[in-house]
Amino acid sequence: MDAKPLTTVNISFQTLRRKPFRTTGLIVLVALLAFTLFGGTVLSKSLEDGMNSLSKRLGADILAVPYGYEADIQSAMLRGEPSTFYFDAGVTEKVAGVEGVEDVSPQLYIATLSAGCCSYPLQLIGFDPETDFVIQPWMLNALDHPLADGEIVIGSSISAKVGQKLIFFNQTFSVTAQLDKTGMGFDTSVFMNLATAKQVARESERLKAHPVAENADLISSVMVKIKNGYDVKDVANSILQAYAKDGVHVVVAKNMISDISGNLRGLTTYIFILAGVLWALAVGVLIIVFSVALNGRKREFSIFRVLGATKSKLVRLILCESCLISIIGTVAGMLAAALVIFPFSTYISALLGLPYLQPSYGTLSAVAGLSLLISFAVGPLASIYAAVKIGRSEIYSTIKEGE
Amino acid sequence: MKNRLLSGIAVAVFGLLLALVPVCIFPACAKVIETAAGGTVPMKCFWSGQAEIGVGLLILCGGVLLIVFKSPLTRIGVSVMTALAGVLGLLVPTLLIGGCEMSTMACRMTTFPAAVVLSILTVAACAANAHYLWRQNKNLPVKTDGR
Repeated sequence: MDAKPLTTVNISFQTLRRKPFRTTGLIVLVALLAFTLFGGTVLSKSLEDGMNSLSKRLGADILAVPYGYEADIQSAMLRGEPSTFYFDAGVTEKVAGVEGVEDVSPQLYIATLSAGCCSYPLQLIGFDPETDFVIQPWMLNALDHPLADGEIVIGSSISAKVGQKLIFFNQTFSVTAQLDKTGMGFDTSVFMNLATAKQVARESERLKAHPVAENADLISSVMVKIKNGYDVKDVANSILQAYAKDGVHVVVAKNMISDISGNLRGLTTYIFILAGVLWALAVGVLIIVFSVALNGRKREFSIFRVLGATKSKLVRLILCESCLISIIGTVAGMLAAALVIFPFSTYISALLGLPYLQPSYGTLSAVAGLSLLISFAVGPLASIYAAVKIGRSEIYSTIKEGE
Repeated sequence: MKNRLLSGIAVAVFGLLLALVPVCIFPACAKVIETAAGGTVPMKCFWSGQAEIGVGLLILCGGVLLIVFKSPLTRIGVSVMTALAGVLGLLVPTLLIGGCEMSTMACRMTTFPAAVVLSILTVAACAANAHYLWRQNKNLPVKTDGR
């Protein structure tokens, strides 16, 4: 066996090794706390960023959709679930005439088919570049000219490069730009102008009957921007009162975002409550364990004192033991959380069905640092009482008590 | 004895899980490629899954051997080989074979991340075991018969 110097760290390490069951239990407890704290914070931060991305990109105040398809447009926007719903293009003009409406822009949704190798049903979104105020503003960085016929812009999750040709329904399209990750349904969507979208619909008729191929005057939704000084709810009610009989229904963007924000707040609160409870539990259990262990180790500490250890050496020993437990548990817990949260981020996003955008490396480092600090603090905090108690005791009385 | 059992069981469980990931835990995409001749062949991710089953079984055997063999030097050798099998498990979906291009496909979303995580755990466990055994036995005299 190697002869190791009797440093505080070496003695503490050997003490922990002598009680493997207790040490493992305490490490697991701290690891559980670190896992919840780091994993939970990254999860809630990713959802928060996804939510911010959604509200930044949802430039419309009201979305007019065919009656009964309110949930479909939310699925298409949040999760990119391909949807097909249509009403007459004349709705655009009708909605534009409602008092309080400033701008309107039609959109056409076409879903591709799921067949063959590596194919995945995609949402093709056709928009009118002349009237659009929703999609083009955040495409500006990626696109240097208005979308021409036959040109497409693809979401970040679509595997193709700028300049590459993509084939939909036996028609070739040129990829002119690829968007940054948005964390929402737009990542798996393909954007094109209305004329191109209608052409796609006509081509798709060869495989499957498509309503737009038979009637070119169909659109899927109308994005509505209201004038300053008007209340969104009032304008939405006016649209409903005037055109509900024509099968027009409205989705108020703010309500959609506040619904999701509400769910998100609930989830974040649960995560932090759980982390708080685990933190208190970890501190409580460690205080009890160190106090109990201290009583059982009075004789051991007295012998250290007799051998020449100072009181401060004993204090350092106890603090070092707790720090070792804390650091091993914290690192293990954070690594475990990283192994779940990062590789499975797409799966988690699909399971939650909410906009999910992983934070930047800077934010991740800050979250990791904070989680490390909070989890690590458990050990030293819990052992302060035991350390102070042993620091005050006298050799003789400690030996007597330990007998 | 305790270390032998613990390390062997841990590695065997990682191997078993890795072999089961493409079979039943997180199966890869099930679609097939239609060839020009009208036939069908499985996609790339299917073959990645098959390779992972093989690597998983190899790691499982490594775990069993870690339990069976008592000689520290033999166990160091088995640990190193099993760690290398773990590296292979890591390379199959990321570099050697790969899978679908879209990140939302089943293979990219679940099968490969699970395989990567289990491979990392296998490499870490085997490397730690080899290091521990080497430190414990670095002064052990090596006999000519290898015991």
